Order: sequence, then structure tokens, then C-alpha cells
Amino acid sequence: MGNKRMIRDGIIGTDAGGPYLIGGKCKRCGAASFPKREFCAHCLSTEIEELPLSSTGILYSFTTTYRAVAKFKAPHSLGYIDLPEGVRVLSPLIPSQDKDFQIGDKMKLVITELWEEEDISVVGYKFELEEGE
Amino acid sequence: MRKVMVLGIGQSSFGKFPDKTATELGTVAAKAAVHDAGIDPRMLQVAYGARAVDGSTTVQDILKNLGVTEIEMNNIENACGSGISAANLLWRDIATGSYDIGIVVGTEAMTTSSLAGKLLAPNKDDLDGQLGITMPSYFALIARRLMADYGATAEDLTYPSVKNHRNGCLNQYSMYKKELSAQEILESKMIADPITLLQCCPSTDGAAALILCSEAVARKYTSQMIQIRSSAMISGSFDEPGRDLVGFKMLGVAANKAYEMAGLGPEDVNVVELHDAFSPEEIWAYEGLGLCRKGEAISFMRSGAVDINGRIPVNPSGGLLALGHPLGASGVRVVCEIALQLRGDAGAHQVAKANVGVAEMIGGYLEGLCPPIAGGVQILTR
Repeated sequence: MGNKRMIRDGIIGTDAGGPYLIGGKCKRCGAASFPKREFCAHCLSTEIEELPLSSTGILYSFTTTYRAVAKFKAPHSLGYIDLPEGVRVLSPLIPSQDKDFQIGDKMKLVITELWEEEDISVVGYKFELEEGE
Repeated sequence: MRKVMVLGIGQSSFGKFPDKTATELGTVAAKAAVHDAGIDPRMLQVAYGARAVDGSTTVQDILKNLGVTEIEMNNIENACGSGISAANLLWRDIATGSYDIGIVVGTEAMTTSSLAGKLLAPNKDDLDGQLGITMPSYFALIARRLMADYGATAEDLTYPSVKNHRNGCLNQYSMYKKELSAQEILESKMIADPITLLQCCPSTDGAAALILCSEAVARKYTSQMIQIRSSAMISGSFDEPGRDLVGFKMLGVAANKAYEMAGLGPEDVNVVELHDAFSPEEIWAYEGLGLCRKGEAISFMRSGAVDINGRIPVNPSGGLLALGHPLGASGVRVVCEIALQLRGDAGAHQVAKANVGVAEMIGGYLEGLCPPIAGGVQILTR
């Protein structure tokens, strides 16, 4: 045990403020994306800089699937979170014991294990309700 | 561009046939279409097969059973859009004069395929797929916004399923011939909330076939001149920041292209067959096809406009929800169904005054793109 891998390389960074998702921003037209693309989908420029994304955002939509999907057991919640940089992120959601999700909820990023395969822990991101929601 | 005519249509029964291969189902449909066209099968000059998952040479295998060899044959794989992709290519072959007559056979043996019993998901290395998105959960995310933005109730979301099951009772080929109430649908097992089991199309085995030809060939064999006036096939667009999930961008692009090419508008349309894999998806498509104005899908539906005796009946066949959804077959089957309606031969599920019909089929999901990934719209007239 103890082996870890990221669900995908280059999508999660860490600085003094903690972990964050790494988006991309086009130097020419300013269009943002997550994950960072090799070129801008809007203007095709290849000059893309890393854009550290905010770790909090607003829940745009959500659903819970009651069948096992991908490597997840049922039930599995998913949602779109709108981040202030103008990026919408699809993410697994951590359900709260106290409150059902609602569109407009304030959500925060959690870096966590998504699943285990053989003896490797696969790490990625989820979002959960921000305290006080 | 030459006029492209529908000369023959045919399909197998739709249902659970685990002892039948995609070739066997496709052979039934192809023979039915040849019989319907009244032609010698060796007149066929080109053939397309459509299936989402099968062996690599399906259409050659099917046409071998009709005694047809040594012509151009291609197999198309384009998710749930496979069938309409193939129909689009044959339409182009006839329109451009490359060939005078050809066949499309869409087929799928779902219950014995690698997709059996699974919620349809993106490719293995797709990030969104790894995070757990499936076709039902994607449409559930849209359905939630239909509720938030359009005031759709949980009962509204069941309406296409109620309607299409009612229509399916009138179609001899349906997998399900049973009416369902909104309450039964809401009380069925939750799949991806708010989408319940009876708001999802079943996993179905079946096939459909379509013979298209030039006007000159059609005149020799039929007096019913059903024309495919236009055909548009398009891939998904790059996702846009802050896009409206309910705004059906890609379908609108395909539909507008098809209307423009046909010189017709949505106000001319009398009947529609579309991809209702999930009940809320049908509601989502009304706007994409321009059947109602933006933001008005729910009031449009509540008015009864899409009922079989309404102003623009949608899925009079029973759609994917009741008729069933053999992936490769459905995109061919919707074109066959519109042709049947325009001929006035749909029997118990015939709609009144069918002069202009729209066939739509879409499919696929890829991270970074705005689904659907493969979508087609054809406009037929009589």
C-alpha cells in the first residue's frame, strides 16, 4: 500500500494556499478552460498560460446515479461547479448528512482518493458544500 | 444536387432477441426494404451498414444474404448517431450523382453486445467518464436545469415517456405495448435523479433499412414520391464557458443547416421522430429543432402540441422509449418512420396531414466538447 497516482497528470497543483485545479488561459483572447488545453479552443492560439482556479464555486446542476458507474459504487453524486474564472468543472460531489444539494449552493474543492485499484490509491478532486451552506 | 427519393423502407421487430445476431436482424430489415421497394437486390450500387458495436464487416455479411456482392460497401460507427450518419452518406451519394440507388442497414444486437446492462459511458480514457458521467447522468444534469430555468415539474419530465408509450401501443414493431402513467414512471427505480428507470429507453435488439435512389429510378418503381429534401450531419462543438446547458447549440446548428438546405422552416413541419433516449431529452430537443421558441418548451408540451393528434406530433412511432433503441438501427429507423408517415401508411399511429417531416438522431459524449458528439437531421417531404 501507499502507492498513489493522480487520475490525470497536470490537473492538480499546490501552493501556499493549498491545492487547486490547474486551468488554462489563452494569452491572446483570454478564454479559460479546465483542464488546460494545448491550444485555445476559441482562437486556436497555442500560447496558453496556467490558470490556478479558485477552490470555491457555485453549484450549477447535480445528479446522483443509483448504479455503480466507472470505478465508483452506488450511489454516486456528480455536479457542475461554476468557478469565478469562467470555467465550469464536472466533479464528483461529497453528499452532506444534513442538507440536500441545491442549485446555487456554494461548493469547495477537496483533493481526495477517488478509488483504489490493486494497491494503488487514485487521487483526484471532489467538491463538497462549503461550511455554512 | 439531384433529388433523393426514399424507395424502400423495412425493419425487424424491436425487442429482446438474444439468439439473433446483428447480421440476422439486419438481413430481416434489408429484405423487407428490398421487398418494399419492389426491386431486384442486385440493382443496389452501394451499401452502408450502421452499428455502434459489432464485427467489422456487418453490411457485407448482411448483403451476402441478399445475394449482393462486389459493390462499394462501408460500415459506419458513430455512437447513437451511426444510423443517421450512414443515411447522410447515402443521401450524398445519390444527391451528387455518384450512385443512382443504394441501401443503408442499421442494426444492433444489444443484449449480447459489450454494452448490455450498462449505462452508456464515454471512452475509457475520458476524464468525465472516469469521474462517473454516463448518458443518463448527463441528461439528468440537463433535466435539473429544465426544472430550475423553465419551471418543469417532475411530472412534466415524464410526459414524453407517457406520450411515447401511448403511441407505442399503436405500432406493431414496438418493444413495449403498454401505457404508463406519470405516477408509475415517477415511482419506478431512480437511475440518475430526477431520471427514473421508466424515463430511460430500454436496451433493444433490432434493425432498420432504407433504400434511397434518384428521381429517375424512383419514377420507374413507385408513384409515391417521398423526397429527402435535406440532410445535415455535424459533430459536437467545443464547450463554452458559462454555456446554458438547456440551450441545445449543436442540434440547433444541424437543424438550421437542414432547414436552410430544404428551403423550409420549423413552421412547415408536421411530424418529427427524434432521439428520446431519456424522457427529459425530448423536451430539450423541441427548442433545438425550432419547434417552439426559446424558453417555451414546457408550455409548448403542456399544450398537447406534440401528441399524436397535436399540431406537431413528436415520436408517433413510440420513439426510443417504447419502440426501443438498437443503437445503430435507430438513426435509420427514424427516417423510415417519417417516410412511412408521409406515405400515409402508418396505420394506427398515422398522423393527420403529414407533408413535411423531420428525422433527428444524436449520440456520444466526449470531455471538453458540448454533447451530442454526432448528430444528424434530415427533412423529408412528399
